[in-house]
This record gives sequence, C-alpha cells and structure tokens, in this order.
Amino acid sequence: MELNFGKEGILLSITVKGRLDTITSADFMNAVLENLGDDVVNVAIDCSELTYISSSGLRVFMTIYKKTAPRGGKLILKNLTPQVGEVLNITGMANLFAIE
Amino acid sequence: MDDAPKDYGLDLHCTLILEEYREMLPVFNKVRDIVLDQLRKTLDEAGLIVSNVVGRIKSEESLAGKLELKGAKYRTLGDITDIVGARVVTFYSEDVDKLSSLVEKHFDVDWGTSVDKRKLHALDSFGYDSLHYICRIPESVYKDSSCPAINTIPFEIQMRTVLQHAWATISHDAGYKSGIEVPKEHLRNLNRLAGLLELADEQFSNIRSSLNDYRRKAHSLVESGKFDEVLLDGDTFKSYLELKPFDFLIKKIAMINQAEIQRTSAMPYLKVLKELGFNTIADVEKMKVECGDDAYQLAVSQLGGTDIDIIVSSVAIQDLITVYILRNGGGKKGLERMYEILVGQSSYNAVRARQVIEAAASLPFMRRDF
Repeated sequence: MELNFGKEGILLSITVKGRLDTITSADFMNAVLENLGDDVVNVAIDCSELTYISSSGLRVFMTIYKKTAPRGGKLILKNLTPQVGEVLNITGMANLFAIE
Repeated sequence: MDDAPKDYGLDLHCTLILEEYREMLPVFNKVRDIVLDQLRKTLDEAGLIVSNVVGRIKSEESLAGKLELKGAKYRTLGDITDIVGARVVTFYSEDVDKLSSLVEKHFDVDWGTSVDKRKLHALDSFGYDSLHYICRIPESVYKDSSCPAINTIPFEIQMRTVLQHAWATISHDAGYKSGIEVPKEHLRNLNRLAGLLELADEQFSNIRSSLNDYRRKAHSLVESGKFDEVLLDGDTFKSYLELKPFDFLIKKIAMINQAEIQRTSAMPYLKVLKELGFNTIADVEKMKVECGDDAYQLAVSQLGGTDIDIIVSSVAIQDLITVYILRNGGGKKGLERMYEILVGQSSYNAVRARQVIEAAASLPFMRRDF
C-alpha cells in the first residue's frame, strides 16, 4: 500500500494505492490520525488505484467520517473502482460519503 | 497629551456626579460582567433559548447629556439606575414572562422603580413594549467584602422580544425617543407598526404552541402504535425511529457475517419515503412488514459471499426501500433517484443501481407478480 497526503486549507487529500487489508489498514489508520488535525474539515480520498478494501479499511473510512461529520465536513471518495464501490454499497456506507 | 477630564459645562452638582462616575467605572464594569454571567448561566440552566444577551455601561457623554437635561432630579450617582444595563431579547413574548421570573429569582428587584412598559399602554394605543427591571446583585450571587458596592449598585435589565427590539431600535433611529420632533403622520405609522408587531408576536407564540401540541400528540400516537393516524413528517419519523423499528432486520443482516453494526441515522431516508408517496407512519410500517424478508434475502445475496464484518445500521432501511422500489417496478431509474436524493447527483449512482439489480436478479421477489 502506498499513501500520499496533501493539505490545502481545510481539505486533507489522500491518495491510496494498492490494498487496504487487515495488515495495511493499521498503517493507514495511524497515518490518517496523524494528518487529521482539528483544522481539517473535509477529507478527499483518491481511490483510483485502491484495488481492494477489507472491513479494516472500511473502519478507517468510518473513523474519518465520524471525525469530519460533526465539523460539518465531508468524506469525499473519488474515482472508486466498481469493486470497492460495491462493498461500500452493501454495507450502507455509500450513502454516508460523497462519491465523485 | 491632555488627560484632563472633558468639560461638559455642567453645574457643580452634576460635575461631582460625573466625577464619581469616572471613579466607579471599574466597579460598573465588574457589575456588568457579573450580571451577564449570571443571566447566561440562569438561561442555560432553565433551557430558555433567547436571541441575545448584551450588556453595556452608559458612556460618559450619554451620562453628561442626561445630567444636563435632568441633573437636578438626581441627588447622587446611585439615583441613576441605568448606568449599568443588560438586555435580553427573546424569540417569543411568553418567554419574556419566563425570563422575568428567573430575574426575580436571581436578582434583587427594586419594585419601586421597575416598569412593565407592556402594560402602560391605553387600550387604544400601541408603542414601546418592554419589561424593565431595576435590580441589584444579591450576596447569594456574588460577594466581595473588599468591594461591597457591587451589591448596592443598581442596574437595569431590559427584556423584550425580537420584534419589540426591532421596533424599539428602528424607532430610536428615527428619532422617536430622542426628543427630536417626529411629524405626527410618521408617529402614527410607527405606532401602527407596533400594533402589527404585537399581533405578529402573538401569532408566533400561537404557532409554537400549536406545533408543540401537535408534536406531543404525534409522539404519543407513535408510542402507542397508532401508526395509521400519524402523518409522516420530520417529527413523527424521528419519534418512530426512537422505537428502533429496523433493529430486528439490522441485527438479522449483521448475523450473516457476524458483523459489527455502526449506528447511523435513518433520518435522511425520510425524503425518499416522502417522494415514494408514503403519507403515514403506517405506510412505513407496512413496507417493513411486506418487504422485510426480501430485504434480508437481498442482504444475504450481497454480503453472503464476502468476509465483510462491518455494516451501518441504516443499511436496513436502505435495503427495505430498495426492495420496495424494485417490487413496485421502479427499476434502475427508481434506485438512481433514491441515491440522488440521499447523496446528490453522481455518475456513480447508475453503477450502484446496476450492481444492486444484478445482485437481486436471482431473488424470488424479482420474479413475483405483485
């Protein structure tokens, strides 16, 4: 898994490449918590090269959602592959996030 | 730099009062802060939501002007009761009465000088409506032995509604209260507006009261299960959700993969239900009963072959509505519309709809003729 973080004002942009499985999601969670300061309102994740997401990866998404929603912010998922999109749909999460 | 106090050309008596004012300014500031703190705390404890709470100290220029006009009326600075002032602006007229009770409870009210200007008008006149209390800070609220004046300085609390405040502010700006002659015609128009705003205040109170009655009644009907008598709206749907109507289904869905359930609100689905033509809570309940088994089968077809062990609680109502739409011939367009209502327009909505239809294609409800 490869992660890239960028910050512009209140927006935290993340690029995830590879798999978000049980092992890699722990690193993903730590990196997110490190970058998700109090000044971040919206988080955009580019998922174009996210090839697989497990329940652990979904938990990270939910953590981000629960931190940004009370701030009036959004978790924006960009360029979802059909496979990752379907996982979000069947768990009910697709209606919580902004999918572009 | 010249630090000499400004000379307002007042007589000796008024000049001495003004000097005392300058010396007492730090205490006045302290009194204002204590009063504002106490008011805010009291409102908070009582759960009384108001438009705003502000405080002020009468400026030196304003006091000098007052002394110039009617200085002989005041023996000492203590006779001037509005040097420290606070104003609380409420949304509803009955809240002014609730607020006055709280003020009476927490401050010493001087009944010899406090005025309810709302009751001063003749039956056929309208104008400035506000409740003014002259108070002092009791020792039970604040005590500082090194500064006993804090408990003896009078201050004014003005209590009025937002509309009364708007009228007072605009009238003041128009010169109504400042002694500038206002032509009779304009004065009449201002007073007509005061009457209109009094009626508006009354109507706002009536609307709030009726809404509260409606909510209480609807909540009670929902609680007692009389769903067919309850129209579907934001208040009734919220009361319905408090009964956790989809818990059985969500727990059943979670059992498919022993999944953890993350709690999320089902309120956003109200818009979808309204667009589908649901009018009462009974309509939602009917959907739950009629589509429950099929919604579970849909979840099994989607989750069954995976190792996903996390879901959000609103997936239950999502699956119920999905089945409802498909059973009623809404098809892909119907699902896309649901997603559009929930998350806005997105090219991904069409992909989602197609995936759901593919997952549901082999399920019995898709082949049934309803």
